[in-house]
Formats: sequence, C-alpha cells, structure tokens
Amino acid sequence: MEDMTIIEFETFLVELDKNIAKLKSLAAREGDTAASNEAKQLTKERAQLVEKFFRKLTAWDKVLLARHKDRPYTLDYVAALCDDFLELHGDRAFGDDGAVVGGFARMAGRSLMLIGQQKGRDLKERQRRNFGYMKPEGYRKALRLMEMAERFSRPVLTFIDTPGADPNVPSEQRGISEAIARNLREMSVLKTPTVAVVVGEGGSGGALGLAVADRVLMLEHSFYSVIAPEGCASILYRDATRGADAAKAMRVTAQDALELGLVDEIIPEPLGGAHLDVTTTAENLERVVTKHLDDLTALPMGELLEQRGKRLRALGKFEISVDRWRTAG
Amino acid sequence: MPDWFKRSKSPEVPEGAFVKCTGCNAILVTKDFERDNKVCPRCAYHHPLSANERIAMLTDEDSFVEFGNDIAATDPLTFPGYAQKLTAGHSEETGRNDGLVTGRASINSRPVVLAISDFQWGRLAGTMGSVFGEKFAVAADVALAENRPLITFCASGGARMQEGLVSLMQMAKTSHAVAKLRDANIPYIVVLTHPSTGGAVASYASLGDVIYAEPGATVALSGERVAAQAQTHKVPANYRTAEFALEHGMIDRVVHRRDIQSYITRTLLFMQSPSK
Repeated sequence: MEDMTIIEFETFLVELDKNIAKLKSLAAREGDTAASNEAKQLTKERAQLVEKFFRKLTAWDKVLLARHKDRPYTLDYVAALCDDFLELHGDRAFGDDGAVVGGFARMAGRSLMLIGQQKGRDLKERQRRNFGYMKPEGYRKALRLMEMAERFSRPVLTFIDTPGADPNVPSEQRGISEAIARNLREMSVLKTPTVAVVVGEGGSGGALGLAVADRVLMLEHSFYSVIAPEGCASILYRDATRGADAAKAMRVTAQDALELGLVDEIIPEPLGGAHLDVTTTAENLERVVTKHLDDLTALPMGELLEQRGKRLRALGKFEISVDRWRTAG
Repeated sequence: MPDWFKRSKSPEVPEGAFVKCTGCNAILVTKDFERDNKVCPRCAYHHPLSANERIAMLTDEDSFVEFGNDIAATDPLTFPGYAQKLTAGHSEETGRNDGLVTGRASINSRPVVLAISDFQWGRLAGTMGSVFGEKFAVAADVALAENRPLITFCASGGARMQEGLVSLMQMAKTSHAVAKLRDANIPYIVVLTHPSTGGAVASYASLGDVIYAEPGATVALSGERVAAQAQTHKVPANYRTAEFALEHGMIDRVVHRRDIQSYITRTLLFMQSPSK
C-alpha cells in the first residue's frame, strides 16, 4: 500500500469493492451472518485505508490526481455553478481555440466573465480541444474577453487546467510567446477584479497566461509547476520516467505553493478527489471564490490595482548580500 | 646525416592566438575575432558574448555603473545541485550574484538603463530566477524614476526550474514592470540574442516597443528537446530562429552585431527627440 500510486490504489479499491459487494449479496441471499459481518468489517477498513492513503499523498499522487481521466474540467464546474453561461468564441484575428472556453456567466447571483482551459473527455473531444494545450488564438480570445469584462465592470474568473502552451509549428508562427507575454502584461493592469483557480494541471507559462490575478487559488489536489515533472526529470536526471522525484524536488503541490506564499488559499476537495464528488467540489469552489470576489469588489479601483502591483513586484525569494554564495574558506 | 624524417619543431604559437568559428570552422586570428565582437567575418556567425563584453561594445566608455549586484538567490527549495551552481557562478571573475547584469549607462551620450543577460553565468543558461526578476524590476523602477529608456539583451533558457514555481512568477513580475513602463511612455527596447527561449520570450522579451534580434539566434517558446518531441507538423528550415520570427511578424528587424548600437541610438532618437 505504501508504494502504490493513487491510480494503483484506486484499482485496488475497485477490487476491494467487488469483494465487499460479493459478500453483501451472499449475506442477502443466504442470510450468511459471517459474510455480513465480514462485509461490514471490510467496509470499515476500506474507509480507514482511504483516509490513511489521502493523509500521505505524495507530490506525484497529486500530479496523477490533477491529470485523472475523470477529473472535473471547466465546463463541469460551469454546469454545477452557473445559472447561465453564454459562451463567446474567437479571437477576431485568426480562429477559435477549443482548448479554452469563455463567456458571460451568472454565478451565486453575480455576473462575471468566466474563462477556463478545457480538456476533452473522449478522443474526439480531446483532439478538438488539443488536450488542453492552448494556441495563440486562445490567449488572444481570453484577453479579448477580459478587456470586455473591464469595460463592463465585471470581475474575471479563470480556471487553470493545462499541461502547457501548444508548442507546435503553427503556434510559433502565430506568436505563442507574444500572446502569453501580452496576457501577462495586460492582466497585471486590468481594471477589474480577477481571481484565478488552478483546478487541475497548472502547466508552466501556458497556465500563467491566464493566471495573473488579484487572488490565485488552488484546488487541494491540483498542482502548479514551472516545467512538467517529466521535463524536469529528463533535464535533471536524464530520465523522463523519474517525474515523481522531480515533482517532489520542485514542490509542485497546492500545499507547497501556499507555503511559498504564491497562492492565497487552497479549496478543499472531498476525500478521494474532486472526481468522486463534483457537486461538493463545486460548492467549495463557489464558497471560496465568492468570498474573495466580495473582498475585491469592495475595493476602490486604485487600491485594487495598487495591491495587485505590489503583489507582483514582491514575487520572488532573494536576500541582500554580496557574498551569500562566496565559497567557504 | 641530416634526419630527414624527423619533424622540425613547429614555430611557437602563443596559446589562444587563434580560434575556430563555430559556424564554418574557419580558423580566425583571436585579435581580429575580438575586434569584430566575435562575429565570424566569413559566415557572420554570432558567437556568444559575456555581459561585460556586450556592455563594452554598446556603451560610452566608462559610462556603465552597475547596480543590483547585492541581490542574491536563496535556493528556496534546496534544489539538488543548485547551491553548487550559484557558488560556481559567484566564483567567476565577475564575482556576480546572477547572470542578469543591470546598471545605468550612456549610449552615444544618451542615458539609458541596461539589463543584460549572461548565458554562461553559473552554467544556468541565463534562466530567470528570483534574482533575475528583482534586478529586472529594479532596472524598470530606475528607468521609470529617472525617465531613462530600458534596454535589455535576452539570452535565456527560460524560467529557472531550480526555483520551481517561484521562478515561473518572475514572468509575471517582469511583465508587470514592462506594463508600468508602457503606461508611462518610457521606451523599452529588446534585443534577442542566442538563445532566447521559454519563459523569457513568453514574458518581458516579447514586450519591447521595438524588438531586434541577432542573426541566427534561436527564438522560440519551446526548447530544442521539447520542440523535437512535440512536432507533428512539417518543420520549416529556419524554424525557431530570429529570421523565422521576423518572417512571422514577431520582431522588427534582424540586426548584425556591429550595427546594434547605431540601431538603438536611432530608435531612441526617434522616440525621444521633439517631433518638430
């Protein structure tokens, strides 16, 4: 059990549940009290095992949970949270990027601009959404919507869930670097409250391109990283399969980011992960996001921008010293 | 009897009198090579320059006054091997704390603020960690306070993974610094040199009012290895170069190293002199 990843553990639970179900049906069919007791005992032990496993999740487990095939995506949260969502399309220059959705949303009695990275559920949708890798037109669509939100005094809420920006030839041709850079610059001075939530994978600059905000929140089992753990492993250990070691070394979990002072709050997930209970996860998300939006919308615009600027200016860990790294002796 | 088959002693060649061009393998006289700012006269290959060499090439004599070298990294994650790299970088002859060199200077008598990347420093590939971000932000603050243009030379592998997520945030920090310059109409010029990749071009280095690049410099979001893995499309011959970026409208001009000082001066002249 100690060495299992979360995915192996889930497979183990499926087997365990089958056994429990068998015992239960045996008990029901033949009034077998021994079977009934064993089922009860196993059910109890199961709960303990789950709790124990989730108390000691590794950084790599978090990565796997964030990438879990059943992990809720932006549109799942939209369905759970929004009374109305009017999706808008296109960057007005080249195309419409399926890897990001955005539009007018009504959430908890509030109108806001909701923009989120979106992966696909089945192969066809995954391809259409480019596995969540945004292209330049995606960042430009997002910026168009954010600037519209600014004009109509609506807060911006972004959901982050991407392995990274699309690195292929057409994206380089259309200026993927410029598109991300421009978003960073414009989001840093956007005249409306902004909240970003990492709901799954926070993959490098591709994630940051939608995540410069007044408040940055993370779901409990999401991760946020400067480079994919596998990419780091292939540089550091010359072995891409050592992603688990790299994830630990880079401290990619939500809890790490909170300790490093890079995010404001962690949104709890139900035991076992968001995919087991989307409704509860969405409720937690709404509660925390609403609290932060309430705080932010109460601020005068000048103060909001000043706070954001100070926050961005203060990012980083350094000290004042000319000989901090002078070799001893 | 003379020993016909004994090789005569070769004439004394002082150590380092010649260098081989990385681009065309031509053997070049070191003195000429350095006079040409390390550009091959035959194939125009632009060899890497240290920050000090760039400053010497670019600025009026003795005008450069460095600031920010007291900002030091802290190895916030105690990342494997990072402390050794920082120590090695510090022990280089410059004694600097980071690969980004910042300071005030003048170029053809025009006061500027410089932020120049040294790719070699600490064998850290000009990556952007906390010190990079802070020095860049200080440089922008000085530019803003003193109404001086900010000029940056980029040579970077991107964000510094040894500082984890903290380094990714330097992209946001530097881009915000550029936003403040933009809003105050302070000129901001970027020169992309080899290689300008990753987080650097996805932030401050793509935000210049004017962007120049050295011939043949790699300019791309993804590193070579990532790019090779990701390609599912036909790859153009000049892919991921300054020339490719120019062709696709991402930069203003590819400029030979010997001309960069003049281009910067003309650019500033246009931006700063009265219009009539």
